[in-house]
Amino acid sequence: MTDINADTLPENILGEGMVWRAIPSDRYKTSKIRITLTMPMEAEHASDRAAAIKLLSRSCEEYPTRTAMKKQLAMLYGASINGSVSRHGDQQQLWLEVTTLSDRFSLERISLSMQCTDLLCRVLMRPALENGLFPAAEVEMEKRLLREQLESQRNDKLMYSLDRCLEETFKGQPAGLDPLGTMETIDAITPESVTAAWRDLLSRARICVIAVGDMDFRAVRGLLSQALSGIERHYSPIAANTSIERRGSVNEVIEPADAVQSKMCLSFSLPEPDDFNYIAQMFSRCLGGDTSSRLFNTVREQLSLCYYCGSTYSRSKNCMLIYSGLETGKLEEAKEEILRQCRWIADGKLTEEEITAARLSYANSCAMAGESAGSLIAWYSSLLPEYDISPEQAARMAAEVTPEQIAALAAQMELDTVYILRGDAQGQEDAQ
Amino acid sequence: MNRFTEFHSERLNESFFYHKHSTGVHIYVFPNPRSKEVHASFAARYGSIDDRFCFEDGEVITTPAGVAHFLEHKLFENEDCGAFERYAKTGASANAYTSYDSTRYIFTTAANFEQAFEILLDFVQSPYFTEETVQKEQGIIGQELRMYEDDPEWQVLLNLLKAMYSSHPIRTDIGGSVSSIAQITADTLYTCYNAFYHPENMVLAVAGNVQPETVLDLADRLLKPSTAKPAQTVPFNEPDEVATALVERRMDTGTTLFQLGFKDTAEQIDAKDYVLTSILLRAIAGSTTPLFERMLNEGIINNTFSIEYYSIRGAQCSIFGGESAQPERVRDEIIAEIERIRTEGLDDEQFECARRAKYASLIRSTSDNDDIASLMSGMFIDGINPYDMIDAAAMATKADAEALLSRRLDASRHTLSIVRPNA
Repeated sequence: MTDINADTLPENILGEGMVWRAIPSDRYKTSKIRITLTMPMEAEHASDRAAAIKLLSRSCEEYPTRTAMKKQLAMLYGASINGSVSRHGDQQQLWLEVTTLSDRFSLERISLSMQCTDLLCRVLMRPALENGLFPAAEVEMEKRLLREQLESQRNDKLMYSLDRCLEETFKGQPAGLDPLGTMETIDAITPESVTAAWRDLLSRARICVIAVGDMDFRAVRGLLSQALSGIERHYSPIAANTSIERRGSVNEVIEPADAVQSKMCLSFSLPEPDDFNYIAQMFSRCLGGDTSSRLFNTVREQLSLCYYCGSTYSRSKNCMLIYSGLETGKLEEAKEEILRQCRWIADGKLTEEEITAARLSYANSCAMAGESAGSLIAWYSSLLPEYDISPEQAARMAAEVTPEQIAALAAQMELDTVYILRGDAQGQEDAQ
Repeated sequence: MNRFTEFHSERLNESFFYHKHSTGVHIYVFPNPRSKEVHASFAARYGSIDDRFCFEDGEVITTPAGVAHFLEHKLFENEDCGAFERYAKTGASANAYTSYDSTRYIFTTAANFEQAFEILLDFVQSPYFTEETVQKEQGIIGQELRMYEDDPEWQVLLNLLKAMYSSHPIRTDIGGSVSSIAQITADTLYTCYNAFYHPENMVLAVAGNVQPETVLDLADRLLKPSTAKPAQTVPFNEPDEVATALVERRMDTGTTLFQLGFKDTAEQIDAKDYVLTSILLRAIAGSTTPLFERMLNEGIINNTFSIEYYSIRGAQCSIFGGESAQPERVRDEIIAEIERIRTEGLDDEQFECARRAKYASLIRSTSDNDDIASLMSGMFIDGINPYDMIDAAAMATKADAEALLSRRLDASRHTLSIVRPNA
């Protein structure tokens, strides 16, 4: 089997609201299959769905305990099945993913991909139920794990501050909800509610299956198709709101932390585009994408205002985020400099050299997206359903973005929220 | 290819190639024609633990904590044009990092490889330090240190190592401290650069869509010889016993974190020892084991539970870690299970699960170009061939793992580090 350019592969349909994508390649040493289930982000159902996807990943009818499942996976050469949940704009994305060594590396020459696909189908469709429900003891354990996962979000202050900025930007809206729900909704989970959530996911979620690696794709697709064919589907396409409502004033939120360094995140709204928004991708790259960007070179390198300062663009809500870690005493100065850099770009002052560097950098990132099964799956999973774009296509389109287009977009960018996790603690003087 | 020594893996059906350059630099290349990118690493066998060294005259030089990391930051700067500015014209994604025993300068690129490679070799071999630029960097690194001060996962590990080790420099934060880096001058940087960034102490590792001969031709043109001798590191005088058995602190964190370490007597580790230790640890406390299941069911661990084996020059230890509201109980459970297995032996099924999982993990670690380059660099830094590790996992036996237990996981040499949320 040889590499096939992903541009030439059609997306197959597995059923109503169920799609399939195969990316064959024998240059990866691992193979992955991910089943993504997407639903609207709903406060009353988020925790049940998160618990459902986690419970599904732990066991199935044939291997009804965690340990039995783990042993079977270990015997399949350390294969793994992971269940995860994330927020994608107004949508909750839940996925089950199996990772396995490519078949050619098993010492007994067994088809790891077929056995793992079979296992993936079982965990999704035939969980280990008791009297038609997820077992109470397992549900209680999962609730504990979800609570602890929610509590631990504060451990990573960079991600915590980004999440809080998004919560404040979209307060009261689906995009501002935590994909795990809240402590209250987690506590309210019951075997009945989580089982109902599982059945609802199968019935109504948009289901997308991506398989990458070296396997018999026809046979794998056949197994999946057979497993999914038994579902009674009631699917309706999800109408996602991909924009920020402009609030007309800046929302400032300051939260104290017993920390030495402060974190500052700024969110900005951008106008709704018609496409993948290559202009915003390039704008973000020029602004704070990497070490050739305005924010890195001015805010950090020239002015020493922070340790890190970068930007990221989210197409799912047309939102630009600028994040930084810095000394508390430099918060105001850093904020002003960040906004000055945004205005600088809006005034059309990006040089040809800066744009060229951004194009090269973006093209490099797109090329690297195809270097592993995991990065390819991440690429396609991050796309809105209506944009079926390969990394190669994205690089070609981004290369055509002009400085004038970037300046025009920057001029329409509006600051929405300033979130500060303010650290006022004394530093340790000596680590020795 | 006849200027190179080939290291071949029958299992993976692939090879990487080695050449010792006339300047003394060690060069490894993994040609991967199916890849669209190339990853290159230029590393010095110089890390945070190398704070004491001597030249031929034998006089011991001691440096402030954090010099290796500081040097890594400063090398990117040049009198005329910084390295990042030059890289920007190629599209390459560049970075660097300092660990306990090495400093690596890396880039990955899908285009303009030769230009990016020239930039890498140029700036790493062209030190430029002034008191003004050193002072500026103290501010930036100071903020980086603050970031890690607020990171509970980093702090729980740092405290563990400080408590386990009395004098080995692994007990010191890689970046040093605000007060230690304040002592660094341009002269300090030049002294350490000359001591350790010597060709014989450097390794080039390149993996991706490139041929070994191409790399060697570029190296012939770009590598600079040196007539000086590299410095010698001073032996560590670390006792076998741990310094402190328990250390804890409070921080702004959402959960309680712990790290439980078991200190080994320092020894030279080969591929088989390293792999067998990893398999042993998994077979005792990995996710398929009764111990793991019991601790999970009783609510004293969660899915963050991790197992690692650290092997740094002069310091080896096994570490179990994660989140737990009852870390002392986790410690007691793990110690009890180790002693039970020491008496009764490993379970056949658990051993086999651990062996297969480790075998697969090692193969997966040779999937990406950056990982392969790191493994090849590691062959110079640690002396361990990655293909030997895969073979060792394939051929590991339960008897070998049980025999290793006599040199591992001594309960009298353990330390527990805890970070709890603020009251």
